[in-house]
Amino acid sequence: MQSNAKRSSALLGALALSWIGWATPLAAQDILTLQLQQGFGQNKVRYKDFKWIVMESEHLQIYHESEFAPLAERAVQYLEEGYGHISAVLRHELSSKPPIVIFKSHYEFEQTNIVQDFLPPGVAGFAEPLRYRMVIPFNGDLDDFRNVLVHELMHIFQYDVLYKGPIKRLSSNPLSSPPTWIMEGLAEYATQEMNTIDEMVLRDAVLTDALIPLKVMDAAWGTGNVFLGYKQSHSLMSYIAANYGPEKISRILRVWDSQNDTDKLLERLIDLDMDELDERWSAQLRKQYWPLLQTRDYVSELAHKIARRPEDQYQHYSNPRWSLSGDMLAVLSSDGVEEHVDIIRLDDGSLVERITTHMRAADYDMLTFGSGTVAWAPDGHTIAFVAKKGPRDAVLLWDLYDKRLKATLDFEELEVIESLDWAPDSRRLALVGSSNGQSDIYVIDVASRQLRQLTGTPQRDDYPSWSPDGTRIAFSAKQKGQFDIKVYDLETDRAQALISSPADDLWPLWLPEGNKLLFVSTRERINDLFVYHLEEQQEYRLTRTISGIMTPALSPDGKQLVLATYYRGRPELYRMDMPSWPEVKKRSSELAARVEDRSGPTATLPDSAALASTPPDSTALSPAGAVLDRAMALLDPQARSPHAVKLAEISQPLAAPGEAPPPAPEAPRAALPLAGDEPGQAPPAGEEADTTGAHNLPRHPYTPKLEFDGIALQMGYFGGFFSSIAQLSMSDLLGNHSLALSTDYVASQEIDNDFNFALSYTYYGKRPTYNMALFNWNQFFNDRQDRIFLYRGQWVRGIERSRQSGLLANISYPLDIYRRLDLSYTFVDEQSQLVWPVREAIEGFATHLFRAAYVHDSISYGLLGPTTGRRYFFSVGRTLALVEGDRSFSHLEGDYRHYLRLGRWSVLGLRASGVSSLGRDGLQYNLGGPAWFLPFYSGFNLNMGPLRGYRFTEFLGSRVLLLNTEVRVPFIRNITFGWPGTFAIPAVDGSFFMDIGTAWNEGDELDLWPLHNPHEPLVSGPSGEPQAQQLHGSVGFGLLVYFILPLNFEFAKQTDLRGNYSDYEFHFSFGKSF
Amino acid sequence: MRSCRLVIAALLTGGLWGCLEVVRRPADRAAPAWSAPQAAGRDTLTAPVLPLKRQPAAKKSKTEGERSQPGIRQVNEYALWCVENGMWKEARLHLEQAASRDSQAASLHNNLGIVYEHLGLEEEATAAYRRAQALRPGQEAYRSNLQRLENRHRAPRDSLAPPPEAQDSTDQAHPALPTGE
Repeated sequence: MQSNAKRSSALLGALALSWIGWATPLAAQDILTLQLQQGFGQNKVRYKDFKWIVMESEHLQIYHESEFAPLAERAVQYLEEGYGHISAVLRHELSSKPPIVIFKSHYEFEQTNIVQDFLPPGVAGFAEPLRYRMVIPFNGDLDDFRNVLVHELMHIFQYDVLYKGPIKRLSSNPLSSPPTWIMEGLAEYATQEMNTIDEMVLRDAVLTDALIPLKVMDAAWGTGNVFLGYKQSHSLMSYIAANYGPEKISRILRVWDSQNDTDKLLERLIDLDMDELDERWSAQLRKQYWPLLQTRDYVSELAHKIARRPEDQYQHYSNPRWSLSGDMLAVLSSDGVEEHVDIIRLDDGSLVERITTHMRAADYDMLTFGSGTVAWAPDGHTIAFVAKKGPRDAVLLWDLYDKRLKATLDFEELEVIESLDWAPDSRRLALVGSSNGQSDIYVIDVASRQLRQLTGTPQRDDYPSWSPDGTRIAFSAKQKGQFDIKVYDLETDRAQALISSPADDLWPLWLPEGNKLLFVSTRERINDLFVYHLEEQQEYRLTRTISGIMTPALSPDGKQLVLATYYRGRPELYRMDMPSWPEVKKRSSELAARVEDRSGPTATLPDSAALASTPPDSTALSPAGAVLDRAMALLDPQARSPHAVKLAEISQPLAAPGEAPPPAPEAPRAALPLAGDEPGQAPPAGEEADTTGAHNLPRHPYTPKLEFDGIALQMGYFGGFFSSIAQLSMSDLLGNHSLALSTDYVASQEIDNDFNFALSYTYYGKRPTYNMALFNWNQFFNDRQDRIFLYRGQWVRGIERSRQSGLLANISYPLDIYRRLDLSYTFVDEQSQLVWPVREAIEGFATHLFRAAYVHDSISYGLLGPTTGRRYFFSVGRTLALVEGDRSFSHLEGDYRHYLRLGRWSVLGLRASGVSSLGRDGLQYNLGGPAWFLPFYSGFNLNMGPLRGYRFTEFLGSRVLLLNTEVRVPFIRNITFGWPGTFAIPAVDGSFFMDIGTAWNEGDELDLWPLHNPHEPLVSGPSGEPQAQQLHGSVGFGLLVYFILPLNFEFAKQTDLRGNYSDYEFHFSFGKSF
Repeated sequence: MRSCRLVIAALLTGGLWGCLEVVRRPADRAAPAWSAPQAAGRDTLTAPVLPLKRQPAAKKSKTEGERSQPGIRQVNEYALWCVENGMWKEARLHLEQAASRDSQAASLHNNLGIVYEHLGLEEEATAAYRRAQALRPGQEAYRSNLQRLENRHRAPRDSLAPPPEAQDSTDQAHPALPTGE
C-alpha cells in the first residue's frame, strides 16, 4: 500500500532527520500532525490470501502455492538447467540458494509484497540484489516463462560475481555497477534467442539509422525506446561472442571488478573502446540488414498508412477491428499517458468516438492491452473489449446504438482474457482465457453467459478465429516451442492441425469463402502474410516485407486488410487491398521469383518448405558477416535443443568457416489428429519431460522469518550534543511482515542523555494493511519564552526539551485500486521542560486522536506531476479527552484535484482544498510559499501549499482555504548531454499558475472579494482579536526540471486580480507539482 | 461547442449537404425527413447534424430474443450519427439490417432512402421512399422525399448534369437543374 508505506516511512524519515531539526532547533516534528497529513496514492490491492509452499532443489528455493506445484516443478527444471549452463560459462557457483517466488499469473504477481511499487503489465519479473530474491509470474507461455526465469537467474549470478554475496551489496557502491546495457545484455544473451519481433525492432533501428549510440545508452536508459535498448544490448553481446569468442562474455563481470570503467573494460576485453565497438557492431548490422531491401518491400509500398496526421505522431493504435461497412475501425489507443478503446476513421485515422472516456475513474482498474482485446461484432453495434476488474479480467460489451455498456462478462474460471473474436451470429465470443496459469481457447454464449472450454493443452493457444459458417474455429497452438495453426470443429469437438511449419504461424483469419485462411508466418524470420487453401492444401506467400506484419484484420467483405507494422521506432497501422484469388497466386509466384532472381536457384525453395535455417533472403555476407551469421544460426530454435541455453552452446567452439551447415529443418508435418487438445487432457508425451525429478523434491510450508533488509548508521556532533542514529529494517522473505526500528542516542555533558526510538511494524499479508508504531521522541529547542540565564559568567538562552511518546495504529482498506478507507488511532504524550541551564517543567498533556479518511485517486503521473485524472480525500478526526488537560479538537479536511489534458503533455491542474481545526486546542495551519516535499521548515506538517508569491508561513490560522490553478506545458523531452559526463534530462516543463487562499481563525470575518491589494499592508497571524481576513492571490510562472528529482524554479507576483501587482518573489522547491 | 464542431464537420463533409437538402422544408411541416421520433419540431437546417436527445424507451416486457434486438429508434439515431460523421455506407448497412428485421418500420425505409439517394442509388432510394410512404401514407415527409426524387428522375439527364455528389450540394428547394417534362 503506497499510503501506508508513505506514512510509516514519513515517521521514520522524521526520525532520521532528527539531527537536522536538532541542529537547527526551530520547531518540533510533531508526530500528531504527521498523522493528520492525509496522503494520496493508488492502492496495491491484495485480493488473494496466498498459501505458500517452499520446495528446495540442489541450487534453489522455490516458493509457490500448493495447487500450482506442477508449474513450480517446471520452473525448477528450467532453472536447474539454466543454473548449470550459466555456472559453467561464468565458472561461478552461487554463494547461497536464491529464493524464487513463482506466481501463476501476472495479476497475482502484481500483489507481491516483496516490492511495494506497482508492477505494470510490461514487467515480466524481477530479481533484487539484497536477498537474491527472484519473483516471476507465469504468462501462459512456457517458453516465455523459461526465458524470464533464466534471464533473472543470470542477474542473480551477476550480483554474486560482482558483490560476492547478498550482504556485501549493502556496503558496495551502487554507482560501481556495470552499465545497464552490459547487465541486461548479458541476461538477454544468456537466456533467449531473438524472436521475430525482437529482430523487427532491431532491424528497423538499423534501417532507419535510429540505433542508440553506445556512449549514451546507459544515461538514456529508461527515457527512450527501452525495448530497443534491450535488443541492442543483446545484439552487442552476440557480436562480442561471435567476433571475439564466447569466453569474452564470461570475463566481462570479472574484468569489471578491477576496472570500473566501461571504456577500460572493453579495451582490456576486446581491445576496443566504446566508440570503436559501436562503429564495428553497427556496421555489421548494416551489412546484415541493408541487403534485405533488395528483395523485400516496405509496407508503405503495399498499403496505405492510416493515421498520418502530424498530431498522430504520438498516438499508437493497435488491434484494429473493422466496422460493419469498413468505414471505421475499433482500436486500442495509447499516447503514452492514457489508454482507450477508440473508433477511428479508416481513411485518415482521425478519432470518431472514444468509448472508454471516464472509465478509469469508474469501476475498472485498467484496460487490458494485448492482441485481440477489442472485437467489433458482425451485428455492427456491439464492441467487446477487455478490462481488469478486481483480481481478473472481464469482457465488456459496449452498445453503439445506446452508447452505453450493456453487459460485463466476468468468469471466476478465467483470470486473464485475450484475443476476442465474435462468431458470425454475434451471439458467441471465442477468446483466449488463462486459468490456473494455462491459456486455452474458450467460447462464451453471451446471452446465457455460459463458458465452454475448447482446448486444454499446457502450452499456449492463441488467436481464435471463427469460420464464416460458424462451425469451426482456427487458432494458433504452441507445441514444441512454435506456433502451428489448428482448426477446432465445434460439431465434432475435435481439433486438427492444419498449418505446421518450423516457423511460428500466427493470427489465422478466414477469407469469406470459407476455404482459405490468411495467416502470418515467421518464415525467413520476418513476419509476413500467407494464404492457405484448405482444399488444395497449398499455401501462397502474399507479402515479403522488410518491417514485418502483425495483428492483421480482414474487412467484413474480405476485400481489405488492416495490419500493423513497426517503422521508425513505433507500431503503425496500414490498410491494404486484399488481392483476388488469381492475384494471390500471381503475387506468390512473383515473390518467389524475386528471391530466385536475386539469389539463384538455391533460394527457390517453396515457402512451404520453411526457410527457417536459411539466413534472411540468403543475401551475400561479408566474412565478418558470415561469423555473425553462424552465431545467429545458434539463435535459431530449430538448431537447438528446445531447453538449451545459449551460453552453453557458445561455450562450445564455433564451427570453422566452410564447415557443414546446421542440419536441414524438418519437413512440414502433415495434418494429424491432435492428442492433448481435449480439456484437461495430459500434454503430449515427451513434450516437456522433467529431467530433474522436481516432483520428488522436499517441500514444507512457508514460515515467516524476519531478515535484515538494511542497516544504516550515522553519527554527528553539534554544539555540545553528540548524536548516534541507527536505522534497521527487517522483513520476511515474502515481504508480508515489515519491521523498522530507528534509534537516536543523544549525549551531552550538560543535559541528561536521551534515547529516542521508533519501532514500526506493518503487516501486508491481507487485503487491509495494518500498521503499528511505538515511539519515544525528544527534540531540543530554544526556550519558547526567550528567557536569558546567567551561566558560567555568560548570558545564555535556555534550551527546552520536548518529549513525545506514544503509539500509532493504522488500518488501510483498499476498496479497489483507486479508492480506500484509512482509519487511525494516535496516542501521544507530550512533556516539555526547560533542561538547560536550569531544569523546570513547562507543560504536559496527552492526545488521543481518532481519524478516518476516504481517499480516491485515479490520476496518471508524469515525471513532473499528474497528467490526467482526479484525486480527492475527505478526512475527519476527533480527539478524546480522557482526563483534564488532554488535548481537545476536531479536524475536518478536504482536498480535490482535477487534471485536464490540454495536449499530449500539457496539463491544466485545478485544486480546491480546505482544512479546519475546531475546538479548544485547535491546531494552527500556515499558508504561503511553494509546496515542499521535505520538512525543511518549521511547521512543515501544518503547511497548506502552495500559495506562491508569499513567504513561507506568511499566513496562520485554524482554518485555511486554498485554490490553485496551474497550466504545465512541455519544453523539452529526453535530452542527453555529453558534458560534463553523460547525463540525461528527461523532461523540462514551463508552468503558469494562479493561487488564491487565506488562513483565518474562529471569529474572524472572512471577506472573499475583492482580493487583498498587494500594496496594502497584510493582516495576518493570530492576534487574539477577531479580524477581517481577505483572500490573497498570486500569479506567476515557473520552470520545472526533472533532473534526478523534480526541481521547481518559480516566480510569482501577489495580485488582487484587479491590476495591482507586487514585485516578483522567487521560489525554489523540490518535488512534483500539486 | 459540440454542435458547432459538428456543424463545421458537416460543412466540411460535402455529402452531408445532400441530407440537409432533403430535410430542408417549410417550418410548418411537422415531421422531418430524417425519421427519428425526437427530430420533430427541430430546426430542420441543423437538425441532421445535431445529436438527438435520447428519450426513455417505453417499458414493456420482452423476451430474451427481443431484448437482444435493437430498437428502431436506436438504429435511426446511430445511422444519423454515422451520417453526421460522413460514414454513409455504415449508416446504410445498419439501416438495411434493421429493415430486414422489421420490414414494417416506415422510418427505417425513409432513412434508408435518404442514404441511398446520397450514395447515388436512386432506384433503391425510390423503392425505399415508396415503401415508407406505403407503410405510413399520411406522413408528409415521406411523400415529399419521394416526390422530389421522382421530379429529379423526370428531369432530362444531359451531359452537363453533375454527378450525384454534386447534385447533393445543390439546393433542392431551388433546383439548379430544369425539371424538364
